[in-house]
Amino acid sequence: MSVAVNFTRRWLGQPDVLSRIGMLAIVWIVFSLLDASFASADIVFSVLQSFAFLGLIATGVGVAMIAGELDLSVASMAAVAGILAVKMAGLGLIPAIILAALIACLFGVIQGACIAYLKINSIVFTIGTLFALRGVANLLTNSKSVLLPLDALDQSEELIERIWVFCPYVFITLAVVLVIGIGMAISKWGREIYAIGGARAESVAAGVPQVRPLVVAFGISGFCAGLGGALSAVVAGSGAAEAYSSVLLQAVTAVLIGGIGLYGGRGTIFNVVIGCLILESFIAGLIDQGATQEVQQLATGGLLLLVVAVEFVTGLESSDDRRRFPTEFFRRFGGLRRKELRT
Amino acid sequence: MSATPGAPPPLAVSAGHQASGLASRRWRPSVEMMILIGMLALLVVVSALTTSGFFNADNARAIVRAAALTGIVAIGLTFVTLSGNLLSLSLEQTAAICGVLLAMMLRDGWAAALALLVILGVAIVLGVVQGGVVALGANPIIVTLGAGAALAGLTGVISGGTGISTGPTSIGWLGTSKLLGFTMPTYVFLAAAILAAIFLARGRAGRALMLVGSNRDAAAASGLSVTRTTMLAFVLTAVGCALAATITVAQFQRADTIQFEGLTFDALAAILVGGTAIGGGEGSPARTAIGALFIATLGDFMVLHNYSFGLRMTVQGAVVLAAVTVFHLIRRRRTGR
Repeated sequence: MSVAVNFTRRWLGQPDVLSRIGMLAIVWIVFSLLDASFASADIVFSVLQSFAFLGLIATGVGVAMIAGELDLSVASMAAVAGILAVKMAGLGLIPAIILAALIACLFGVIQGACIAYLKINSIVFTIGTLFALRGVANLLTNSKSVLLPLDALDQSEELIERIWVFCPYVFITLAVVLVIGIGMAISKWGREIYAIGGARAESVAAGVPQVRPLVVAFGISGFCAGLGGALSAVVAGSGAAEAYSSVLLQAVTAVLIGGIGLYGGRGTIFNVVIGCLILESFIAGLIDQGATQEVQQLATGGLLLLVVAVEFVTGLESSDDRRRFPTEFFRRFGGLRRKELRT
Repeated sequence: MSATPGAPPPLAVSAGHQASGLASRRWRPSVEMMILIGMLALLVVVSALTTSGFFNADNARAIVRAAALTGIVAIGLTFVTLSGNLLSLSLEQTAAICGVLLAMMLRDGWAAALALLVILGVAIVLGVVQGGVVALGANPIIVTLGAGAALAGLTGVISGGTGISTGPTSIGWLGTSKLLGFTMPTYVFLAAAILAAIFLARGRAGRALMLVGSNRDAAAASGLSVTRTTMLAFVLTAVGCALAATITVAQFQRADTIQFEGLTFDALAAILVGGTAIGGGEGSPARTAIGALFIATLGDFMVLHNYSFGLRMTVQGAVVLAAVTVFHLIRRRRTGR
């Protein structure tokens, strides 16, 4: 019973989750007003299909962000895993996907261990691996795309076979995200990740291990990126070295819209899911309105900047600061005080 | 080639001395600089011994030319890193929008000087806006990631997604003319490195920037504006991108949205290989310049050995990772943490 109460409070009871559900509703209402045929099962299906991939990647980015770190290597990791899965298709599709995801997970674990033991800035380290992994992706494919054998295509199509507004790929994503979400909310390892993200120095004093949470967080991040890349490559029937290059932007945007704190320790995986749904609905609405690729990119980037700005306003230290918002804003612009920049 | 790294270091060292009083006590002759020069020398010797067609004047010029464009942008970005604001991920997009705007103005027959002024204005606005948001306390990586995407989208909308040819222009000499065998961009690169070093060592704003980077609280307490310094750093970065865009448009007489693909990561690689401290306050444009030369030399070596694109990228990524790790460990040992 207490678990259930705890659970509800943790997942739904926070005002920021409710406000996000409100945002999702507003997106759907606005685009439905612009186009009466927008709110249809077809659009929901296409939103969920994009969510299947983005949800996995964003969960990885979100877990790393909760730990107070950034994993910029997810897009490259997804590309490498996609290529590996397609190349290993001879083993059968399911084993190939699982193997590719596990290789990515192992890489994430090593990456997390390096960051933890070296006490190095995760941004700098993952910029290095982002670059190196893109190279590996090019190396594996000789800069061409690799194709799934024809006989495997039938099987891979089953992954996106439509079941009402869902497909098996979406179920896989939801299951993985649910397991990670529950793990983060109730397990000891999950609490350690929250502890080092929310208050690194205090967590050291409280005796929270510093290596394990980082290893777990980056392991999850690698696994999610690998699984997403592998599944999407198999579904598409091909893996390419330059694939998924825009997913980092989308994942970061979704995670921040969802309400994960940029400075760690704040938000749950449920926030990530809502953020992804908001972003994908927003993009689906733009496409419905006939927006080109460029306009979508412009809107996503603008949205990310907007979220960062909103985070600043709501992040002012006290509600007093918030009430005095314009004054406080300009005082800060004067540059006398500044929130500690987390590096 | 050896003249480039030779000149600026003393200035940069003194910048570290004067700007950060606390840091100067633990300052020893820069280990990083010695490692860098040693690695570059080693790379040149090994390449010369193992590679036919490496050790000659033509190839040296090709290397410097390859380093120049990346180097100009990286030197601009060094200010952001030195001021304690990590890195920017919007470099190639900033360059692309400047390039497209410049090409459109030249195509429409604007006077070159006016067009360049407009580009400078655009760069300043982009720098002020990004720097302003970062100064409010937002993470620079996230801000520049968003700004980069927005700029890329905007560039596509402005240009209609097609390449823009300028036709013959009066600024062609900026990209193509040669002096003593070296092309103009090489001299711009050299000038940028020297000016940046002088600015950091002698300029009031430059020294404020170093202090803000090495100790933000102390800088704020002594009345320096962290906000203005951050904006200045981002403006200088954007100006570096605009300069690179100008050179490229002058050289190729055309601009498009994906002209600068890879520039962001080449510039980041130059800074990270140069060993500028990611936390700010320590490093120099000279080190970044050597970093750019190192990356260019390594690239040249691998091209001459017919390495595939994937292998070159992997090796470059591995070098960046190794450099970041080694410099981090050296710094940790020195600061005793």
